[in-house]
Amino acid sequence: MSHSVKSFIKLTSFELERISKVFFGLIGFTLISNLIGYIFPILRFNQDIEEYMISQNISVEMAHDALGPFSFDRVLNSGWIAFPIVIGVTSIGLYALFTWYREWFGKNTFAYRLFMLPVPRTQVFFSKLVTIYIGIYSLIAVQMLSVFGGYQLTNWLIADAVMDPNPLISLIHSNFLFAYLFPVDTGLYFTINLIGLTGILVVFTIILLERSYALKGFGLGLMYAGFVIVLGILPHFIGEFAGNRYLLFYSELMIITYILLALASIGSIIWSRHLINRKITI
Amino acid sequence: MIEVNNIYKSFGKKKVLNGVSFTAVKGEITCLVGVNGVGKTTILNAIMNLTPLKKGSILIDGKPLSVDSYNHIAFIPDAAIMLPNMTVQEAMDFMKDYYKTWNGNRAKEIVKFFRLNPSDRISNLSKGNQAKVNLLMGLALDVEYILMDEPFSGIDIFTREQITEVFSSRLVEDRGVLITTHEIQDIEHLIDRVILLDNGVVYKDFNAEDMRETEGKSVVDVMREVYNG
Repeated sequence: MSHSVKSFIKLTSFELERISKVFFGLIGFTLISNLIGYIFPILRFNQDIEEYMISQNISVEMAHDALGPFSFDRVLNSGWIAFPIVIGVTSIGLYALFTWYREWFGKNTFAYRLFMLPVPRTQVFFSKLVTIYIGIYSLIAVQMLSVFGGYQLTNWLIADAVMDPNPLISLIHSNFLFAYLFPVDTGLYFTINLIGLTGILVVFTIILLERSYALKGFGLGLMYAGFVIVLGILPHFIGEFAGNRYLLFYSELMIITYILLALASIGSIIWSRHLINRKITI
Repeated sequence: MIEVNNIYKSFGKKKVLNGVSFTAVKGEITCLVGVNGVGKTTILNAIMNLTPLKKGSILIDGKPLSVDSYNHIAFIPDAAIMLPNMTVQEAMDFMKDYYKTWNGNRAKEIVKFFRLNPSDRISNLSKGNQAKVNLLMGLALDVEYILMDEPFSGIDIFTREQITEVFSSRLVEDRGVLITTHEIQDIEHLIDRVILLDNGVVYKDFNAEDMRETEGKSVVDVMREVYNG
């Protein structure tokens, strides 16, 4: 293994170690919240059945018929499941800022050490990016395993006759939040990931601009972010501009969008590399 | 040799360095002196590529700054720069992981010399001991040049004496040291060359011993002449 690869792995594992407490905290929070989210709707459902039986003076079967089957969609739509996802997404977003600013404004100025390491500074940049991605995918994986486990748990706690027979995949596919979190469609998966990557790279570029040119840099960064957003949505208005809404097929439109977002990502990396090597001030 | 060639630097509209040039060589202690805000720290930061210059160049042994420069030059800034939750030992392990120039035996020697406890957390150390950790991180590297920014700042007299001892010890021997300090009287007898900065330029560049012998003036005397008009 080359010295460069070794130092990159070391830097990434060092970054992971620094985020580990927050990261394991988020995983723990997700699992606990999810567990409550799996059990609570089942208890509620059973309670509703029981109350309905008593109030109507009917049998369990009749109550089941009247209230309908238990759908796992109830679980997926509960706040116990959605809230940790929102917290996770927000935390990762904030971490994209925190991962840089803590080096300057933490208790000690670790930026000195980090930028004096005898490794290319782009390794510092990519180690922070990879750490964020490991965090994102690990949280998604935990959420995915948790949902599959929760589905099994629900099947175990609810009688087969009362359980909505819809398979989990179709429930995920039709759920707004989970459709984006675990996209079944390759195109959607690719779109979400490319938008996410471009977003993080643009945020990194804004931070490095601010660290290089202070307030002016921040202004420039915001302008750059605006430019990338326009670049990303522009192809969707090509038809409008040309006076023919059906000028491009949807697949063509998406390919153009992907190319433009990929160019924005590459541009962000090149600009960040220049800033981190030549312009940044400690 | 560290060659600083005609460097310019501004912060907003304020011109801090206005064509500064000097050299610092191996085996000598060169002291950058000047009043607050004259740009001493900026020069050290620029040598380490930690701040961009408007104009000018810096060469280390004839080569422009690059990643490899950090294998030849160490910087000990006037701030704690290792993570506060690290122990002294973890900080040393971190350095060992990244610097091929890390000298473990010398590190042990310095830990002993400064009476540091490797299991102490950096955040729990006094300012003086944090300064010693900073020195440890720089001095344990087998590099040709060491830059030190205000190593005595906010440190008690006993720690200051201990740090002063470093300059005359073999921990520094044969290396080129470029230092900035306000407490010049503490190390005046050890300094070889003085670069006096004023108004963004090198006002005077002289050999401290020659100055003492030929003009009978100490570095502080020369500083008084310049800054008191």
